[in-house]
Amino acid sequence: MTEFLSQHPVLAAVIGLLTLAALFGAMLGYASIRFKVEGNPIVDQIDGLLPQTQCGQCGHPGCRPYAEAIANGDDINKCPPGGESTMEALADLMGRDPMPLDADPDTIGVKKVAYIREDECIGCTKCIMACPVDAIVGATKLMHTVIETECTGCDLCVEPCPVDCIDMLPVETTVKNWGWNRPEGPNARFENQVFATSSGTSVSGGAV
Amino acid sequence: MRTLWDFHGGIHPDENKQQSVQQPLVQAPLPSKVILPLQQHIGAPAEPLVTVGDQVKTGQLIAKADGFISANIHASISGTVTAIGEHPIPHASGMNDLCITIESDGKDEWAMLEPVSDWQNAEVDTLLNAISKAGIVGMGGAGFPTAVKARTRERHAIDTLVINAAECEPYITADDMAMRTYPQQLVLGAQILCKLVDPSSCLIGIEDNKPEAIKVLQEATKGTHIDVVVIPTKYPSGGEKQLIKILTGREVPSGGLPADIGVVCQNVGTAIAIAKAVTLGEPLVSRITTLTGNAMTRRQNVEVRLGTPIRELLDYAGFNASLASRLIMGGPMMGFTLTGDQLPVVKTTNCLLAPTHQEFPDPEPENPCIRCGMCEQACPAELLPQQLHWFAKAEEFEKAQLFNLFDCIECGACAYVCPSSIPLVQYYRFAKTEIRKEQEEAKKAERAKIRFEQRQARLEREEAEKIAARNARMAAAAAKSPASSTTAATPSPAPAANGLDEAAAKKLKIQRAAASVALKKAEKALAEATDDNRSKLEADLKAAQDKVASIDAQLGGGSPASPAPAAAQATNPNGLDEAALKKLKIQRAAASVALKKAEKALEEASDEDKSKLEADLKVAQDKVADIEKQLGIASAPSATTAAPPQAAPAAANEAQEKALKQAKIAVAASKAAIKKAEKALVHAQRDNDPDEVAAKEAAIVTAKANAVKAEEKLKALEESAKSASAASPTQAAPAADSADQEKALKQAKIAAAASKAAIKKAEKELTAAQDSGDAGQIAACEAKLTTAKEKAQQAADNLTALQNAASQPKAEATAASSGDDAVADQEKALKQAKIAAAASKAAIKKAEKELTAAQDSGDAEQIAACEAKLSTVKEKAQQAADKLAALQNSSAEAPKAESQPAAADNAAEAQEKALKQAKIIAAATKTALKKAEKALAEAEASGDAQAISDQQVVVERCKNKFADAEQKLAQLTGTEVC
Repeated sequence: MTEFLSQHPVLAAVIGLLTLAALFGAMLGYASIRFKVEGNPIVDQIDGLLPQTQCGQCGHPGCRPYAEAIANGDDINKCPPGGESTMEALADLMGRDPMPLDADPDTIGVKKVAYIREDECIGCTKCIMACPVDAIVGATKLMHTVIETECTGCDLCVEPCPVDCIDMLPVETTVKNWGWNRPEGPNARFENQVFATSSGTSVSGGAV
Repeated sequence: MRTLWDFHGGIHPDENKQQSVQQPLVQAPLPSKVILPLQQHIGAPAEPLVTVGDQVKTGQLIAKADGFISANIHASISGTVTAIGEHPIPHASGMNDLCITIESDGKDEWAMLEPVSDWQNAEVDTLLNAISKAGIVGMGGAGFPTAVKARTRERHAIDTLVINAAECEPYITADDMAMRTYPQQLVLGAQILCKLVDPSSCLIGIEDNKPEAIKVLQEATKGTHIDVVVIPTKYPSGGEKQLIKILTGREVPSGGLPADIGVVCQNVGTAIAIAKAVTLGEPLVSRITTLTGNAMTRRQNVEVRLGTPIRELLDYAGFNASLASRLIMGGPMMGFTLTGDQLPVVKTTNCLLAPTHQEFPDPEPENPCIRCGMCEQACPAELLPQQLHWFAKAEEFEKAQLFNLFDCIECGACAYVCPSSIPLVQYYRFAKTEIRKEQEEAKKAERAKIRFEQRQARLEREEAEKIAARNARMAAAAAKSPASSTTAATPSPAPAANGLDEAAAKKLKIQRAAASVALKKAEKALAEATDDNRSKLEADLKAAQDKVASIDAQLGGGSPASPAPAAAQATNPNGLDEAALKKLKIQRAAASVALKKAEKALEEASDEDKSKLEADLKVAQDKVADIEKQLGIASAPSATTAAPPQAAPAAANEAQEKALKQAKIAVAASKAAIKKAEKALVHAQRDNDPDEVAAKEAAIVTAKANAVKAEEKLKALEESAKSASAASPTQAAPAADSADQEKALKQAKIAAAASKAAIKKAEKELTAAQDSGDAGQIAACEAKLTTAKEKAQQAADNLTALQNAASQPKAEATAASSGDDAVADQEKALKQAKIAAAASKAAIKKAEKELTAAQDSGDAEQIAACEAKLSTVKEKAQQAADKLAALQNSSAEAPKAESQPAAADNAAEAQEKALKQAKIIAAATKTALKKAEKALAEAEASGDAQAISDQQVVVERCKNKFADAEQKLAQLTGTEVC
């Protein structure tokens, strides 16, 4: 056998390569079965970036369907609740160019929450059925109310209300969700500056 | 001397501490009212326990800790709760939060205090409870609930307790004065903390700029294991992590806690509060606050009740608003500007700073970063402030996080040294805020996603349940309707009555058939009726049943009456009355028909009325047995009195017949078993129980095997019967011969009926299959249907052949005996009339079925059309029946005419009559065919596949009949021509 191979180097090379090809083919075949990835993993990643308001403003019934659509080539600028940052994150992930958001610029980034004017509510349960995250509690012919912490501000409950008693109010700033503002930048005097500076200690005089 | 370490960076701003330590610590005047925010600590806000108008005493619990990381809040003054609501709080945002406002009654009455009597020997839990009850929080500035921090031993091994007395921030001297005033209490507090966290060493870290405090503490700690460690003054050595670094050389890991490296750090003020809480039982209702700044005239430390409005403190301190550049809570490095003077002092208020413009000029405008790197030199957390600044400015928060933004302690050292006056800490705070917001949103998004998915799952589940319930309902309805339709469609055994030719019996039979049609109609109506008119319909049904019963009774009464003369005649040795025997046989045939009918009904009946039907069956069987007995009696004498060769065949015949009947019953029973098993199988399939399905299938197989066996037996018996009858001498027993023929005819008819039933069944199955939408099943059913139809065709052919055969031998026999064709003709005509009657009955039935279908479909027009058709068909049926009756009368008269010699005329007359009748029959069948074709066209137009197939079958049948009728007519005309 060895002699035969050594006498026919070309044949030996061919046999060797074929053996290797078969071996690696088998390994790849096994790996494709053993380590099979269910579904499209990019969809999960996109879905993770979307704000999960399930508002349908993108024209898809929920965030995951939009994620699937993006994975299949849909535009990345159709998510007003996610705002600019989501679009940029999507552009990053998908390797596409950022594009202007497809929404009214005034409404972008304003977090809203549904509010039911409870004395006007007739208890029709239509908003409850519309809410994608079950954030409205109530029963037939009883007053409904929105669980504010669960409301995603998707707007879907406003349309079905027969008495128009649902308002979308901007989320109120309280001590809990208050945050520091961005300093205005160079050449702007930061009015609320408390910090002493080495240039402005007790010795230096200040303007009134 | 202990080894000390140093931390990276740090600054040395002007201390400005001397102004406020010139005066001793004093009690601030009691406030006229206190405003106590429900959240003065890190964690969840406390839960109010009082309502507006409640009288409270100093030290009384007014708000309870809500959750693990939360703190109690106590009334810091006696008086009345005047408000629980939004009030501005000292917070960088300058916003409102929930506060309890207490209007002082000026008495400062204290609530009953519960000190821990012997804290040295007290349980750790007792001490922890005392601390948590007192609502003590970290008083250095963060406000973390102390009891929670003191519990760290449960999770971490602590070797060092650090009392933070560094107080590195400029201006602030609250801890300094506290140490000078309450050294014993500080040591006591440290000892209590030592008991709680059980460290190997307890260190008091104090900056060397507080010599008096150091001296006092060293005195106080003599004889204890507490070390007073003097550290060099450098800002921010009072930072927890920095102080630990200085004292132990250990670094708190990024994102970690001091407890992770075995250290717990508590503030001086906290230690004193712990001592008060444990030894005096006094809750945290006051704190030491530095009032300082050149805009105040009385710069000193005061012990102030929590919730005291700043206005009152400022008044006490001689605050000059015109001099002040701003009002700051906390120190100059880490404090925040206050927006008003109605804000209360809270648990973390260590300083009120009212600097003048000279002290605190307005900040310089921000200049661009010149990348000097001084901030990096100053950063005590060893971060890269410049990089963080860029990232925060560009809002590249992920990168900022990558550069450990959250390790920034916001000490302000970088901003202090920045030559460009960049408010660096502000940038970091902004970045932190944004990152926290994003995290919060991500969390919320995750929750929303989960809720959305759960909702979707719930909706799907509900939908599935709904479908399941609907299917169950449909299954129940389907199980009900086949039962009703089978009972409604119970085929009438009336055609079997065709075998009779006794006139009265015939008439009664016709009546009975009409009545039974009415009965069937009523039953059908009942099956389709809604609950409303059900009772009425039931009444109708009852009436119809009564009618049938009465006719049956007449029929039965007429027959039982005949046995007597029959028996009497039987005794007559000469007059072996064939007529009597025949009558008995007819009776037996009728009874057996009834029996068969009852059996069939039993097969198809639901369980409910099974018992009733079984009773009916029993009665019918008894009747048959009776009649057979009579027949036996009648034929036995005839056997004895008549020629001997006749006796044996008759008896044999009887025995054979009995056996045959039993075999038939067995076949019917096995068929019923099959049907039952199949029904059970369908149910099982619907329930989706594979085990049961398998079991049922096995049952069906065995049942079918039984059926095959029974049929084989039946066939064998029939053959033997046939051979026996063939063997019996025909000349000797013309009656037996005719009986034989009749039997064959009957069998053929039964076969035809059976095949028809099979077709019906197959059609039903096909419908069910079409409903279920199973293509495979539909194909199978269609195949079955075609085979069944073929069989039916064969059976029908057989039947016609037999009928022809029966009529011919009879005609021959009579012709041979009497030499007269008239009787044969008459008989033929009679038969044809009977066939016409049967055909019209069938047409009625069909029309009724159509009507039912129309009623089912709810098409009013169709219903009307069907009803019209039904009435015309009924009229025709009536005509046919009348004709039949007329013919039977004439046939009854015919024997009389037979005796007369002038028979030739009569024969011609009879022939003519027969011809006429044949023509009529041909016309009738033609119209029936036409009608059927019309119905077929309608069905095709309606597009109902089942209706079309039904109608096609009908048309086929009508065509066959028409062909038969024409053939016969041709024969008749042929004979006439001859």
